Amino acid sequence: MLLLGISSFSFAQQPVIDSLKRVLNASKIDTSKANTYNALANEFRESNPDSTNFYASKAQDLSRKGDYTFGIANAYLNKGNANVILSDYPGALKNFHQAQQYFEMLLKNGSEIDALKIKNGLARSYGSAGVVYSEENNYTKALENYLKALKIYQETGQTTSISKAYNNIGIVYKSQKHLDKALEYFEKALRIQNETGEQSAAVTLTNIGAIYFEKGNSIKALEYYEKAKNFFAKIDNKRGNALLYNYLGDYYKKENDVGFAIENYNEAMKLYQEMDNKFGVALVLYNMGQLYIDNKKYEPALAAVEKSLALAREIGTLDQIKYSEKMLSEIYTLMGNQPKAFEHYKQYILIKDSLDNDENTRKFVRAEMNFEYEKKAALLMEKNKRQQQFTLFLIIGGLLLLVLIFVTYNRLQIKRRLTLQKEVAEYEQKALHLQMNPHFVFNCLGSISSFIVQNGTDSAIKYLSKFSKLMRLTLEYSKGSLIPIDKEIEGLQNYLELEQLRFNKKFEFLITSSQAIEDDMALPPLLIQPFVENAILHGMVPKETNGSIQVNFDVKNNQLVCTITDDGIGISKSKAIKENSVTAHQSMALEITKKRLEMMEATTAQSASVDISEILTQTGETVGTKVVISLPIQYTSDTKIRI
Amino acid sequence: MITALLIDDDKHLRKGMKSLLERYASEIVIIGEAESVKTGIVALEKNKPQVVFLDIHLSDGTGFDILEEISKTNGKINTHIVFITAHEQYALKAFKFSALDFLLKPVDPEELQKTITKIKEALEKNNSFEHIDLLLENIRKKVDNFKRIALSTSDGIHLFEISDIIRCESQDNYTKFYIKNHKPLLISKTLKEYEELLTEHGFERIHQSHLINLSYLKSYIKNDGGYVIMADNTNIPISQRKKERLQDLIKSL
Repeated sequence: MLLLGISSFSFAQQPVIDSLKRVLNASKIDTSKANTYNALANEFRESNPDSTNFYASKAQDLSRKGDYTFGIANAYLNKGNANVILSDYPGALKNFHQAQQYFEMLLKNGSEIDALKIKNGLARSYGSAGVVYSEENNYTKALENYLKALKIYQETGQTTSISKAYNNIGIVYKSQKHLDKALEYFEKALRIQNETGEQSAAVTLTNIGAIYFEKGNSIKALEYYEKAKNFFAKIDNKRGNALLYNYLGDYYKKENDVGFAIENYNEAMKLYQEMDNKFGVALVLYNMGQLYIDNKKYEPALAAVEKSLALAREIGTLDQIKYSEKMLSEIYTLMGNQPKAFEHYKQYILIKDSLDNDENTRKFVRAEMNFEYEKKAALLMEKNKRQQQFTLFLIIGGLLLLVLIFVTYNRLQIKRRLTLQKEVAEYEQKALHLQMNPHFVFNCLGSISSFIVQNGTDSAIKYLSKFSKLMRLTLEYSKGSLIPIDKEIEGLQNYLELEQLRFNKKFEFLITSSQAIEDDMALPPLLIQPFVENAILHGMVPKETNGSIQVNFDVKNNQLVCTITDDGIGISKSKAIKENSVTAHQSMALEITKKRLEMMEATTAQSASVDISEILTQTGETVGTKVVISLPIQYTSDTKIRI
Repeated sequence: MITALLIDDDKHLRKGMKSLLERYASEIVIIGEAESVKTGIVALEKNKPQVVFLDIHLSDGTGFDILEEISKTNGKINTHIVFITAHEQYALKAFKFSALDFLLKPVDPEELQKTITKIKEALEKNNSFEHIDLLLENIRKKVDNFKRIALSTSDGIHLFEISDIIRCESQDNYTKFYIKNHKPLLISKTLKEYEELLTEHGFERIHQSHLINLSYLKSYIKNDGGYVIMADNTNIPISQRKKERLQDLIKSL
């Protein structure tokens, strides 16, 4: 099994190199010269590793002289890249490792160089090291490095490099035959590359094609290869292009199109040779050998595979040596040369054994890698789960809180309503006590008694029936929250007549209601009476002459307005008299009424008020009191009071 | 002269009532007294008075028990009844539905005189006593289950199925009844009094002057300020504040 990972690099452009060289001539300061050397080295890294090495060494020398760490780090990076192209993997790893150390030193100590640049350099050295590990079949290390690089690139927001990292991770998965996972990463990479219009898309397309090829989907594979080929035609990426030709060769080999297969392998070989990439040449030669064997052309097969083996031995790729030895043994067998076949088979076994040891370690490593990844995945899942649980808890908690708030609010509302109802009842009770003022009750009874004694039977009977009517109304309606207006008027009429009799016609009265009053209007019971009582007791009684009281019901501004006017002595005078007496009745009536009106406002959400004022003449003399009670308009149907 | 029987379980109240009648209604002659259901039935059979002043609460029952017994043995009652009640709320409604006379304790002389005047008129017209049967019928039932109502006009008392009343219209202190297959009747009570009686029987006051039986409502027109068309093809206006309630009622029908 031969696996080849490629890293995607951008290509060199002659104009860029020329301009860099001009800058180099102009630069006088060593650091900028070093930077320019490094930039030049970087430009050559794909097409001419020797030039890369040359310029990198120059940059390194200059940087060392100037103690310019950033330059040293970049030079190591460039040298490492040259090593990769030249298949010197141990050298490459050493250089990348050096670069990493220098970059990290810079990051730790801080420098005048932009942290972003340092980070990107570090990421590049990780990424490149990953490529080397990948080519050495050390996938754990490869993946580890790629992920480190990916993390840094994501931090610095280098989309191009992120796509490269995705691509390389895809390669690792591909090598591990995790084709779906590989495809996933390649597609991630391709998406970014398409967005940014990167040229490395060509390499990614090649890789996706290879995945489809391995999955046995030739049509899709060719489709992607063609796309990649068109792309490569526009750019200069020998390495990528060579790999594509190699893959195309494999494709045509599988399709039994020998001509096209050879053509493509030759193209691949040409490019690898141009780059002096022995690994690539060995691979292509081996593949060609297989093609020749399939077509029974043993002589050319032998030539190709022997060349491949020589190259593999030269660069020390054990995998390639093993496969080549095995294939040589097969070819000699097919050619009837048993001793040669046996010789190569022995070689094959020898190398295989040493590799198997390696393979065992690798298997172990692979298992470890899988374990690591499972662990990571498990950790991630655990984290997700925990997050989900947290969210769930949050939601449940929120809901519970809402329910709690709702319940509390509801309870408060109920409590408030109950309190209000209780208060309403309480004050209705108090109002009842007001009207059923014992003073009034016993005075009435006393009057009846005196009528009888004085033989005024007629008066006694009349008085009694009025009293009983008033009692009846009071008892009947004080239970409800509303009394029909006609009943209220009837009650007032009775009450006033009683008081009239009691005070021996000291006053006259008149109850009127306007046309606007409808007969099913209603008002709270026992609300008006205390004010009428006040008019009599504090307006009429202390008055020397006879007086009069008027009670009027009307609708004004969408309110039921009851106006009680008297031509009594007025409140100020009355208060002055009261200060010498002990009655607290009046103030209590007003207080209770005000409370009831407040509660009425709360229950009907409409305004209710009572206003007491003195009636003054033009000269400012008090000629009476006026009480205006304004209530919300309510109807008997509102509470369905029925007899 | 009108002969009368006085049934009350309180001796003093009987005495008081007697003096009251002497003073304010001298044409009434008390020809007998009783204090219980048992003695009341006997006195009634024996004296055959024109009027009975009947207390509801008696020592061994109610005044209704006497009427039930008489109606059972004689088939019907042919005496005017004036109930005297202290505070029997349940009976008041039955009285009103039956257009029966009643006095509240303590008796108001003015009301006593009004009642006597009505009885004199009734005696002259030789009214029927069907409404007493209606009273007994209604006393046995629950209030919301009353089927008939007695309407007292100048020419006598008429009994109607409540379900035959299409609508009532206020005319000052009178109420005009529009009844199925019958000429309109003018009753000397306010619309409000009938509203109180009839809302429990599917009537609705949709306007200051109109109380309608919802089962005769044909259609509800929203235009022109809103009005309803009744089964007798009369258009009845709806007052603004009743619209919503009427709409709710129609929905629930």
